[in-house]
Formats: sequence, C-alpha cells, structure tokens
Amino acid sequence: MAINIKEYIASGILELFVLNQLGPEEVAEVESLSTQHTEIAQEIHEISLGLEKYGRLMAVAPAANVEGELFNNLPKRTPSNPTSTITDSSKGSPSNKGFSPLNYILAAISIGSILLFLNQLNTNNTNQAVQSREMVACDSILKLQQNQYAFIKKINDPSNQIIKLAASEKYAGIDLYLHANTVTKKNILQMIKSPTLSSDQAFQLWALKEGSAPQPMDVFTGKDNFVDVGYVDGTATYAITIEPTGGSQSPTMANLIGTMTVE
Amino acid sequence: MIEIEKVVALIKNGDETGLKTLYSHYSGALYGIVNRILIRQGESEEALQESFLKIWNNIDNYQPSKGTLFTWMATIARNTALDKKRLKSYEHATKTESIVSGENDPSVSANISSINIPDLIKNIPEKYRILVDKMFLNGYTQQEIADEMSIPLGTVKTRLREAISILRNELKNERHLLYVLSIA
Repeated sequence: MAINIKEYIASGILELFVLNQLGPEEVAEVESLSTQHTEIAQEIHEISLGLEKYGRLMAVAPAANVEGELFNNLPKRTPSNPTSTITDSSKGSPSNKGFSPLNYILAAISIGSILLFLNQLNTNNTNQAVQSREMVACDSILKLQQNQYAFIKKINDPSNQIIKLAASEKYAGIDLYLHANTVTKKNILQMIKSPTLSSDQAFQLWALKEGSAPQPMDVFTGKDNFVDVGYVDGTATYAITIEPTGGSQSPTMANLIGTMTVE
Repeated sequence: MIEIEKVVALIKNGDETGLKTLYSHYSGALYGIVNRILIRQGESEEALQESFLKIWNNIDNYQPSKGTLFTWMATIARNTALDKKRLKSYEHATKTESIVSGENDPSVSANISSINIPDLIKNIPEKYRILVDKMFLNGYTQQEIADEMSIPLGTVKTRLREAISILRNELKNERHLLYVLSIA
C-alpha cells in the first residue's frame, strides 16, 4: 500500500490510535502500516512517550495503604513448574524398609491429593486470569454497544434532514446522503456508492458559506457506510472532494464529487 | 538499572517484584487518571487496585508495537474508572434520593481544578492542554469533546495532533522512566 507517510502521520490518526479512540478497521490499518514503515512505528512510540511524560507530571499520590491492600490480595500467577517440588520431596522421604501395603496406599492417596490440590490451584488461577481478560473484553464490548446505540438513535432522529448529494458531472452515479440535524447540530454521511480511492487519497468534507472561503472539515476513507462528520453552524452547502491522505486546506475543485445543500 | 521488558518478563513469570516496581513508579500517574474520573477517594483507590490486578492478569496482552507499557496501563485504568462511573450513575438513577454533590463531602479527594499545573506545561496553550486532559486523563471520546467544546469532529483530530506535538516539544528534555527504573 503506497501512502504518503508524512501526510498520514500529520493527519492525527496515530494520536487517536495511541489514545484507543479508533474503530477496529482503522486500528488494523495503523497496525499494518506500522509494521511496514518504521517512521510510523517510531511516531507511535514518540506520541506514547509524550503522553507518558505528561501523565507522570499530572500524577497524584494514592494513600499509602492502597499498595498493601493490593499486594495482600494479589492472586498467584500459574507456577512455572509445580510438579518439580513433588519429585524433589520424594527424594527426601525416609527409607521404605518395612513399608506396609497400607503405607503405600496412604502415600499414593497423599500424593494424589497434593496433585489434585495443585491442579485445582492451577485451575483457579487460570479461571481468575480468564475472568480478568473477560472483564477487559466486556469493557470494550460495552463501549462498542453504547456507541452503536448512540448511533442508531442519531440516525433515526425524526428531526434529521436527509439530503441527496448533487453529484458533479465527473462523478455522476455516485450515491451519497447527508443526514443533517440542525437541532442536535450533528451530521452523518451515508455512503451508498462512492468513488474508489487510490492508496494516497482520502475524502474530505467542506463547509461552504456565502462570502467565506471553503472551511476544511473531516477527512475519511469511506470504509464505513456511515461516517460521523462535523457540523458547522450557518453552513448553506456541504461539499465533498477527493484530496491527498490527511486532507487539504483548500479543496481540489477538479476532484469535486458533489454538494449537499441544507434547506 | 532495568528495562521495561525485564519488568514485563518478571510479571509474566508471576514475580510480584515486577508489579511492585510498576506500582512504585506508575501508581501516581494512574491514580491521577482514575481520580479525575471518579473524584471520590474510596472509589478511586478501588479503581487503582482493580487496574493493577488487570495489569497483573493480562500482561500477556501488552503489545509494545501499540505504544508504551504506560499508555497500555493508562487505557486499562481509564476504562476501569469509566466503568465504575457508569455503574455509579446507573445506581444513582435507580434511587429516588437526590444525588449529593461531592463538593462538601470529606471523602472527595483533591478538587481537580485546584491541582497545580506543573511549570513544565504552563507554556502549553490552554485550548490544547484541555483537549489532552479530556481525552487522555478524563477518557472523553472525540464526539464528546466536539459536543462540549462546540468544535467540528475534524477539528478535534487536527487540534489533538497539534496539542500532542506541542506537549512532546515542551517535554522533550524530560527523561523517560525506562532508563531510570530500578528494582530495590
């Protein structure tokens, strides 16, 4: 995938990646690109370091007893080699001269019990680790569900005005809709049929107001059918163009896909 | 001297020393995050303990290619605190009693607005610092910031990039903990 790395880094996507604010597709894209381009991997590292330094500057010391409580209740992680102890302890056992069959049975039961106990301990530790992993996964799922619910609520808002894109001649046949809501001041772009982008291109939205230069807005790749885009008060028309990855400060008119006029 | 990879390896081997090292160096920074979200001391301390427990149990999930260990731990702390906050909001919503403001409550720890801003970051313009604070320390989403600050979503992204660039520049002479970590 040929991309302009400088523009990609400048787009701000890596900051959002480090802050865990990207969707799964964008995360996969950044992860893939960071393995291919050392500049991107290095930038991710530098952003993380900057935030780490900032986080430490804003530190607040917890009460002294918190550490004790944490470590007193810290579960053991799975022992690396639990069976070796049993083998070793058997070496130190008294001579088996005069051992009756009953002794052998008792010894076998004891060893069996210890093995069962260790197995149970191991299972418990594993269960704790699984539970903890699931807790982290649940956090993410909950966040995802909340986002989806919020999105469904937004798209079904009766005060939405659905505006069809007036496509330019070059992009006739493109099918896009703007779900504009002047009450909640939210915009959603629905991309039913969009132009194919090359690897170094992105879509960009513009706010057009009479007497003002076009205001640059969201930059996106259109991988999703619905895109949350910005809202600018008093905008008569929104336009969408194809720009280099990361976006531009003024629109490339030759790549104007079309406009959407708010009533 | 020890590198962070060695601390991670200790935890993976079930050695508490590794977690103790992380606690002694990062508990303040993580507590700073959970305390901003939850405010109340008791809840913040619980969230901090739960966060370190998750770090202990999930260290195998940490991937250095996604950022530093601290940013991974910060995400865990932020999500833990936000979950607690959501649960608390739900519990409050189901009760008929009014929500008591924490302002006069002795259990409320340091008021965030009264926290002194370190000299090192005083040069960062407020509009940028607030953005980093809200997203990194308070766990706001881009949309929440756009709504609260009345700025387009695209502007949040570009302004965040500018904010972190300024932050990096201001803090470039700050040493990274990686090189000074040591186990007693």
